[in-house]
Amino acid sequence: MRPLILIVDDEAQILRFLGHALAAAGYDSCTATTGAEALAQVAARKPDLMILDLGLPDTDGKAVIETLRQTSALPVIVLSARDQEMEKIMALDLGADDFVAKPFAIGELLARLRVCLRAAPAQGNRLRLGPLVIDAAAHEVTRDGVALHLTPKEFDLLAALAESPGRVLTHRQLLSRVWGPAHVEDVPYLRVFIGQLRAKVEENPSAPTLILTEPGVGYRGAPG
Amino acid sequence: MDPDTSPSSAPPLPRDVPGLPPLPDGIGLLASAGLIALAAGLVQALPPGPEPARPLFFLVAVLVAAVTFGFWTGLSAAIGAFAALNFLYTAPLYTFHIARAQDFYVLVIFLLVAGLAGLLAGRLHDRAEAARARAEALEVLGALSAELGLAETRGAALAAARGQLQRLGGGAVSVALQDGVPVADAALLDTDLAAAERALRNQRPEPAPAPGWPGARFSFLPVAPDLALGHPRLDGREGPRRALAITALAEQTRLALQRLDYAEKARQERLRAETEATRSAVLTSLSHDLRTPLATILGAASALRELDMAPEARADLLAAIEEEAGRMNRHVTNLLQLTRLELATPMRPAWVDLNDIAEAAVARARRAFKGAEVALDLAPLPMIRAEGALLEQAVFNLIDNALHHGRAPVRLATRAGQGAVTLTLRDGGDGPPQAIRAWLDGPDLRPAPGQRGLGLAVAKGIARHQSGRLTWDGGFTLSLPEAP
Repeated sequence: MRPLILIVDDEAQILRFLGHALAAAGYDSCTATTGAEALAQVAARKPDLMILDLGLPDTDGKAVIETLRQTSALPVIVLSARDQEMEKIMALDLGADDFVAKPFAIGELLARLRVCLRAAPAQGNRLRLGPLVIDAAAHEVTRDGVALHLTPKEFDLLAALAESPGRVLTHRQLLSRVWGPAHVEDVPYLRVFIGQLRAKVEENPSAPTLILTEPGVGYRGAPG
Repeated sequence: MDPDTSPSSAPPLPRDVPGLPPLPDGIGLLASAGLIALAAGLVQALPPGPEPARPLFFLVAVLVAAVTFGFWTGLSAAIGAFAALNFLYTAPLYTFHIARAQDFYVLVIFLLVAGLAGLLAGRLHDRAEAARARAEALEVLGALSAELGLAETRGAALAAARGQLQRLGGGAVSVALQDGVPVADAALLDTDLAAAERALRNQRPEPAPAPGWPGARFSFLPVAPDLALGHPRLDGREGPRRALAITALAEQTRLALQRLDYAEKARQERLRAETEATRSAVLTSLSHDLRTPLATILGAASALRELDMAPEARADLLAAIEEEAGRMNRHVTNLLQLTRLELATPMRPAWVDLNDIAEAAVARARRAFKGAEVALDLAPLPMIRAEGALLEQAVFNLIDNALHHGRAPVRLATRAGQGAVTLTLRDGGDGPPQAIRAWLDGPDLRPAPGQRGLGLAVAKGIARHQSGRLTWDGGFTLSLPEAP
């Protein structure tokens, strides 16, 4: 069965090309042009993923995510314009799964789509990130069988990124997860830890391939 | 106003100058001599009355002199009357000797009474004079304050101040610093200009020296950092009072000029903020109107290249790319047009028929928008002087607006009458929101906040550029003047 994608955008032309592109890429799609319609479609059609434009005429895209997250874990990819940087980050903090900046090439959107549609975040004790094997129970990280020495915080950070490879995690999400909700504003602190972590796990820390930066937004573990 | 920050802001109104009143002038003395002579004449001419009545005649002369000319004149008249009485009527006659002790007492008491009466009457006179001068100064200042309150420009405020200074100071000049050089609005001597420059440099009044001393003939008072008012030297007994009134006048003028300065600064600041706001409105509109078609073009093109698609889907994506490129093109055209209109290039009119233009615009709209329906209702029109290409753009934008923001059916009508030709575009919708109707009537060319697209802004700009108007009256109406 082909996955069903709900496209929410008020621009008819965007709906038009996305419909064709998703059909060609192996997805079914349905559309909505307002926030209210989007929520109604979620209830009626039970889509597998929502592509949500942040600039809707009736409601703020963020409000749609907030309402949606009260009842559903439906993966959401937000489409944002360059001047909606803040709204994009807020949408991610509110529970959107990823974002694509407009204008975009279709390949970019399809890659995010595949990551988000993949089964729920990896559970269990052994996580993988590129050549790294992360043993959550033993608090051990090995690369090609060689153990790496990480501090507990570095380990937690790496585990968070490895749990959902390819998905963006905002600064706030990472800070809250590793250091607790009181530290969500300490972005410079996070940056220092990411630097230390890269020095230990990356082949070339100045050109990282495992921990990728989303400027102004957060970090992304390398897609598997 | 805070008294701590400007202790000198309110100079006192002219009051009675303390100390003795000014000395009598020649006219007063001559007049009192005349009055005494008149009294003596009357005493001589009348039938010989009782002797005690004679001093009373002289007393009247002293009172009249004092009331008319003031304190000193009254006192001089008293002494003169005493002398005349002694000379004419006291034995031995026609000498200043006094033979009888009794006459001596009469004369001394007369002198006392006359002196006191003269003193009182004189002071009364001086008080009345002072009150009159005060009233005049107050009237001048009151008039000035009203004029300054109404003044909208620096020039008007200055003219008002000059006019009232003319009344108070018996003449008025203004000296302005232009590039550091004092420039007067009347012919002044170098000494006068130098005094004005000193007043401006020190920002302090520069009074004219007393008569006979070298220096300027004018007193100067600064009223702004680069502007001083001057008046001829004040002579005579009213001088000190007038000087005080003039100080008050200068202060009022200074405050008024300051107020105008602040108002001007506030106006410029407001203008700058408005320009800034409209610029950001254009940027927002730009980013939306260019980015949306761009997103479709990039997305569709990449999908065509990367994905394996059904032939119908490919055809539809190619059509979408074409349409969106056309939309971008229209937007860029409007943007350039708006820039051109804002630069206010001069109009290059030719004879055109608005009906031809309407038909051309409708044809273009049918090509640009698939399935566009515009009903035409054209009345015979006189030809007008205008730029056809610009008008076609304006009409096309109105059609574009009606097709995309209004509702079918869209109907275009032209009419002639009342010295103008009009083109009205109606649709089945509710018309533009209130903000856009208000914007249409306003002076702004840049789009109103929340207005998507530049089409209406360009149509409005073109209407204005062609000496016409774009209004809303249940439909967008473009009216253009008939050729004279």
